[in-house]
Parts: sequence; C-alpha cells; structure tokens
Amino acid sequence: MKWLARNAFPIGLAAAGFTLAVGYPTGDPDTYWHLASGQWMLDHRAILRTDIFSSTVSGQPYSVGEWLGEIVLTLVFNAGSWAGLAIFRALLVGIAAFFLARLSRRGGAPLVAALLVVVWALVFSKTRWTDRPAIFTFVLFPVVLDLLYQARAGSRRALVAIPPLILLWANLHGGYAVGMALVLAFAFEALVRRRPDAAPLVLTLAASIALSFVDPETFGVAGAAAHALAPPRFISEEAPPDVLEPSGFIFAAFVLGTLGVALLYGGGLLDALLFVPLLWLGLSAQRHLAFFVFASTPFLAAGAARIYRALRPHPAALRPLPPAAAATLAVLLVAGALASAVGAPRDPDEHAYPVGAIAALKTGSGTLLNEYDWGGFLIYRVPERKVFVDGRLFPYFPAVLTEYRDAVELRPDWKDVLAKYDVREALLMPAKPLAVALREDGWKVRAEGSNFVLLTKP
Amino acid sequence: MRTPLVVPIAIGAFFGAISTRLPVGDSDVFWHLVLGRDALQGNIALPEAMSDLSWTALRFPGSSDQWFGQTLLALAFDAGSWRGIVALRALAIALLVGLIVYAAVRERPTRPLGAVLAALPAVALSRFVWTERPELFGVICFALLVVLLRPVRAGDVRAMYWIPPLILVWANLHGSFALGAVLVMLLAIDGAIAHPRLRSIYAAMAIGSLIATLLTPAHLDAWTAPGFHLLHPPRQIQEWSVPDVTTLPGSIFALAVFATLTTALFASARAVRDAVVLLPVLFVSLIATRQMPLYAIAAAPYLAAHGGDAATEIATLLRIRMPALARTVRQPGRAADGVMLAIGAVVLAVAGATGIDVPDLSGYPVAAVPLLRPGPGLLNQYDWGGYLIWAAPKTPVFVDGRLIPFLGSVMDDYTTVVGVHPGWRDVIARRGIKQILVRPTDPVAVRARDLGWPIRASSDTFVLIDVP
Repeated sequence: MKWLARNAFPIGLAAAGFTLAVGYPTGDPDTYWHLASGQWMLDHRAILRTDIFSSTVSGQPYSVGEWLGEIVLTLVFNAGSWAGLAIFRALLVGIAAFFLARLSRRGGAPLVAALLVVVWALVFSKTRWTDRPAIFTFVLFPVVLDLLYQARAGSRRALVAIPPLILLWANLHGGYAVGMALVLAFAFEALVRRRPDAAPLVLTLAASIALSFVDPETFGVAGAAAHALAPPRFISEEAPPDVLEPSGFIFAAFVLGTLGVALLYGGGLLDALLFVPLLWLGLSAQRHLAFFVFASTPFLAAGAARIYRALRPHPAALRPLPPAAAATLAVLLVAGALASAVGAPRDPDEHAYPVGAIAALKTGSGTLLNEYDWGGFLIYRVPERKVFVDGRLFPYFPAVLTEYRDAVELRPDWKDVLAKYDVREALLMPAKPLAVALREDGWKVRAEGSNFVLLTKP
Repeated sequence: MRTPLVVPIAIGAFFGAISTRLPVGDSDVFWHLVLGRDALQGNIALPEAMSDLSWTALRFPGSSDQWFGQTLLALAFDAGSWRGIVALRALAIALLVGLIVYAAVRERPTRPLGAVLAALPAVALSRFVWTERPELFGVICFALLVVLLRPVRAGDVRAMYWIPPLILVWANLHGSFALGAVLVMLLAIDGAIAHPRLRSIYAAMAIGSLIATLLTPAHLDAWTAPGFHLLHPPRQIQEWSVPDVTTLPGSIFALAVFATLTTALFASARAVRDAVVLLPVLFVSLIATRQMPLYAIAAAPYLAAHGGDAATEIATLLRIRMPALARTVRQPGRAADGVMLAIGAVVLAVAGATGIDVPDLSGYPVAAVPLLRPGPGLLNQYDWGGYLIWAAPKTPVFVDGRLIPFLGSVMDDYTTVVGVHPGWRDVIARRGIKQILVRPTDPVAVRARDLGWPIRASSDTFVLIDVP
C-alpha cells in the first residue's frame, strides 16, 4: 500500500504509456526477420550465426548480439500472436514510463514540473516503440539510470542489480554499450568527487564490463562504436535529427531547455558527463535521440520547478492525496490500462508492404531483387524466396548494399549487378528508376499494386 | 575599458589573405553576378530580367532581397574581373573574422589568447560560408549584430541607434536579415524588462528595425524567402541538409554546442540574458548545415567571457593545473591599432594582387557550352544552372540555384526526368526538352545511353545528350 501510494505518479504514467502503446499495430519491417531468426533458433535450439535468408550473403556470418531479444520476442509472438506482441511492447513502454517518471523527480521537482517534462519525453519516445530488440534498450536505459541515481543517493542494493541487468542487456540488444557508458559516467564522477560510493561504483563497472563479455558476440561494443561513428545515412532512422519534424522538434526542445536551465542555474560534473556524449549520440542519428531526452529529464524537471518558483514565489500549496486514495488511484489506473489491452491489434499494419505480390512470389523462381525495406517482410511472409537485401544491414555492408543501390538507382553499372546475381525477378516501388527501366526493357509485370510492382525477366 | 583592435585586425587580415588562395567559382556566384549587373542597370529582379535566364520560370516576379549583395559582387567583378571578386571576398572574410574575434576579445581584453581560443570554433566554422555570395555579407551583418548585443543589452542608446540601419543594409544584402530582425525583437523585450526607463528607446529600436526590413525593392515579400527556407528547407540541396556531427563542419558545430553547454554547467556566473540570443540561434542552426556558423558566432563572446571560469572549475575538480594564459601587461593604444590596420591593409592588398584570378571551373561542363543549342529546350543539372546563365546566355536554363522560382512543377519535372521516375519521357515531350546536360552517373544519363540516344559530348564531369 505504502509503495503504491509513494509511486502513484510513476504508476499513473506507466498506465498512460501502456494504454497509448498497446493500440499501435506492428508495422516495423525488422520485426519480421527478428521473428524468423528467433523461430529458427527455437526450432534448432542453437544460435543463428550465419545468414540463411538471403541469396547474396548466404552462409556468411552476421551479428548475433540480439539473439536473446529475438527469442523473447518470438516466444511472446508464439504465445499471443500479434496482439501478444503489442501487449508485450506496451508493458515495456509502461516500465520505461515508470522509471522515466521516477527520474523526472530525482532533481526534487514537484509533480507539476515533472509531469510537464516527462509527458513530452514520453510523447517523443513513441518513435522508439518498435517490436524489435531495440525496445529492450529503450526500457533498460531509464531503468539503469534510475538505479544509478538511487545508488548515488546511497542505495547499495541498486548497484547490485546493475551487472546482471547489463548481462541481460548485452544479450538482448547491442545498445548495452550506452548502459555501460552510464555506469562509467557515474563511477568517474564519484571518483573525482571522492564520494563514498566511488569504490562500489567502480566495482559495479568492472563487473558490468566482465559480464558484458558473456555474450556470443563478445566484442559488440567495438561494432556499436563503429556504427555510431559511421551511420549508414540512407536508412531513415540512421539520419541526423531534423528539428522540423515532430520527434526532432521535441529533441531540440530538450536540448534548448537543457542549455537554458544550465545558463540559468548551472549544473554539475555528472550532468556534463551524461549530456555531452549523449547529445553527440543524439545529433549523430535519430535512433539515438531518446538517450539524451531521457537523461536530461531530471535536470529539466528540476529546472522547470526552479523557474516556476522564481515566477511564483508563493504558489498555492498542492495538498497531496491521502496515501489510501493515491494507492487506490494507482490501482484503478493500472486496471484501466490493463483493460485497454482488449483493444490490442490482432494483425500487423502491412499497408506499406507488397502484400498483393505474395501469391506471385511464391510461384516465382530465380534470384529476386527486392526493396531494402521489404526484406524482413519477405523473409517472414515468403520464406520460399531468398531476399537480396533486408534490414539486418551488416551482412550486406558495404559491397552488396552498394551494388543494390547502384541497381535500384540506375547507376552506370546497374546491368552488371543484375547480371552478376542473375536477377530474374524484381520487387520494387513503382517510382524507382530501376522499375521504370525494366518495364521499358520489356520485363513482364507479374503483379502490381499502388505501392509495388513485381517484374520478371522475359 | 577600450577593446584594443590589434588582435582582431591581425587575425582578420591573416584569414582574409589566406582566402585569396582559395578557389573561386561557387555555383551560385555566376547568377548573382548576372543579376547584380541587371541591378546596376536599374532592373532589380524584374520579370523581364528573369525571363532571359530560365525558360521554365517565365514571368516569375523574382527575389530581390539580395540585390545589394549582388550589386557589390558585380561592381567588384567589373572593377577587377575574378581578382576583384577574390579581393571583395577577402575583405569580407577579414571583416567577418575580425568581428568574431573582436566580440570575443572585448569580453576578455586582458587575456586575448583565451578569447581567441573561444572564438576559434566560430572562425573555423565560418570557413564554410567563405563563399563569393551575398550570404557572406549576411553573416557579416550577423557578426556585427553580435558585437552590438552587449552595449544594447547594457542600455547603450548609441548602440541602439545603429541597429535599424544595420537591419536596413542587411535586408537588402541577404535574406538572413530575418533572423537579425527576430533577435532584435527579443533583445528589445529583454532590454525593456532590464531597463524599464529605456522602454521607449527599445521599442523604437524594434519598430525601426521592423520598418527597415520593408525598405527593400521586395517590401513585405522580402520575408518570403527566409520564411520559406526556415520552415521548408530544400533538403535535397547539400547546404540545406540537416547538420551532421560526423562530418568536419558538423563536428566543429558540435564542439561549439558542447563548449557552451559545459561552460554553462560549470561557470560560476549565471548568464540568463545570454539565453535570449543563444537559444533561438541554436534552434536556427540546428535546422540546416549552412546555418551552423551562426551559433558558433553567437556563442563566441559567451565562451570568451565564461569559458575560462568553467575551465578553471573543471581543472579544480580534476585536480589538474591549468596552463596560465598570457596576460597583457599593457593594453595597446589607438596608435597600435592604426599601425595594425595599415599592416593589415597592405597584407590584404598584396594578397589580393597576387591571389587567384581565374575561377575554378573543373566541376562545370565547360566543354559542353559551345554545343548547347540557343533558345529554350535544355534540361541542365541543378548545380550547373548558375554557371550556364553566365557562360551560355543564349541558352536559358531549366533550373538553377535561385530555387524559389522553380519550386513546384518545375522542380518536380526536373526530378522526374533526372531520376528516371515514371512518366519521365512524358515530361520530356510535354516540356519540349531537346537537350539534357547532366552528370554521367545521373539515372537519366545512364538510361539515355541504354536507349542509344545521341551523345553530343561527354567527359568525367558531364554528358550532353540530344533528345531524339
């Protein structure tokens, strides 16, 4: 009861996050190949270490750093189909919202100020509510950050939880490198400040590093660093943030807000250690925006509270709810959120995929050249056909991706690429230059829709 | 305390002199020169003038918000051909760098080295606007506004009188005046709160500046181009792309942002009023690559004023010794400023006289020019439009760097043909395109070769195709 009453605000926000997230159908192209990989691993009781889905890099090794994430998602899917995935995603969003709400009050911000900031952080985070292993990073980042703040406030128990979480994270998704960076920042600050928690934090860091190696892809951090330094820009989530788009605008608001609060009230070493690298990461690619937004939430909320107090030195005091009422409210909100799970979508949103080509693809043969964004969908929906490229990216980087782009964008060697792989069919968006050229060259249309055309060599 | 000008003049002259060794031949300079000459003849972006340049944007009223900048370029060219352009650019760069350094040194006149360090990101980033375009003049106006910020904030009425004339000149030089006008509004609000007795002067400054933005040949339309570019930046053009911190300019920009944030976190003095300028300029800079230098320029005085304090605080925390920065024992007087100004002028004059005197045309389809058919019918690469306006005046272009006249159907048709999108041949027929001048790697060039269309000329840079 006490815990419920004390955490009524985070619980309320978690319930809101759950309710918002549960209504979205799956639509991410990568979900499909993650599910296919997970299913293969469950069927074969082995980790999938080489490519089995493509015609271009078949048999070549590829990243296995998300093996556990894929298995978890597949188990959820096998248990509850697409609705199960939506509910699971909503649960994770709810957990993230819970810890984000706790973080928002770490700087001593009153409820109103915290709510003002955290709601925007939550709205912003919608772009990361995907059914991919990346969602585990989305959840574990605020969890680990909150644990570290707890430890900084004197809780040793919070520190004990971190190394096992890093172990889990390292096997769920490659984003665990950011988690270790958080531990490093807190440990460094404690060492510099000669705080009493320096030694435990250093021990936690050492244990986290050691446990992160208990992962089939031992040196994943190096891969993550290389990825961050040279992101493949043609993938939309790897592009730098555009502040004129909704998510980029909210990110910019957090950046400006953080700088504004720093100019007004200053900050500390830990703030600098967190904000500078995470801001660089956020500016480097859209997929990393959430880290800075989440990390700056407590700072901003505290700043908002100070500005409010400066503007209204004697505000009317808000009387907190009695504990019993707060606990009841929390329970009611959770119950309401869980009830919203009834509305979880039963099917994925496939309007962006070439659904109308499936039947023709199943009866076709020969090497298929497909759109990059449709590779995952094809792996799952048309397992009979090998894909040319898909969202796994790394196996195709750089040679096959370059050839793929040369072909679909009609670069001078496009015919050589088609000849090299003996491409017999092409599944493309109708506006692609290659689709136009192949039609002009007499390739036959086997299937066609508003967003796709399946062409076969005459 | 008077701010000595020795250091700003020396550094400005140094970079101005260096710039005379940099290539000249920006893709937009050519059409700016043509419009500048028109302006000198009294035709400021008249429909008739525009119709000579392009065959797709006939009767477009034109954007006349840069007429003064274009006129300066044309005057420089008429005076000394390309050497004149290089000299004007060098002078402008010297002025820009000098203003950036001056704004920083003024904050720390006794520790000029620290101030110069604080100005370095801005100077380095300004390199990416060292172009022979009116944009450079706009950035100078911005740097001048930054210089005027401190006295205006402090309630210096004389400085306030300078603001509306600055905005007037800026509005006629380049579209970036809109940012200056908005900043002046914010400054006026900030000043009126801080100095209630000067409220009417601040109001007059703001209103005067707003009126000044309308005193251009375009009147209210002068706000059209900056407003459009701010909210709908043409991302397909490199300089309007989103800032990328994994590139060199992006990393310098990130450095300026991180330095400001770190300084704000650690400096003991609070800088509430700096937020009035830094925050909106940061947002504008985050919009597009070409606007990144603005933030670095705006942040330089703040970094100079508080960076040392923050660095000392960090060094204390880390228990490391900060190297002591040289402190000037005696401030140089006006005579020293005069001597440095004379030396700087000589350096710039010598550098200008011995610098680049021909444009770098290696990226342009020079060999294709004699083969272009006169009259309408050419579809050209967007980046080459300006050059063709200059080099082949009898062949009007399909598109060029002026962009706004072509937004909508012209750019759509251009993209359709060059990218070989569905209906590309219909567009060729409908528009009456007779020749195509593009890069060899453009899809339309590849497709034209596939289809066996006659190639009039080609090189590593271009391919000129006759449409059968």
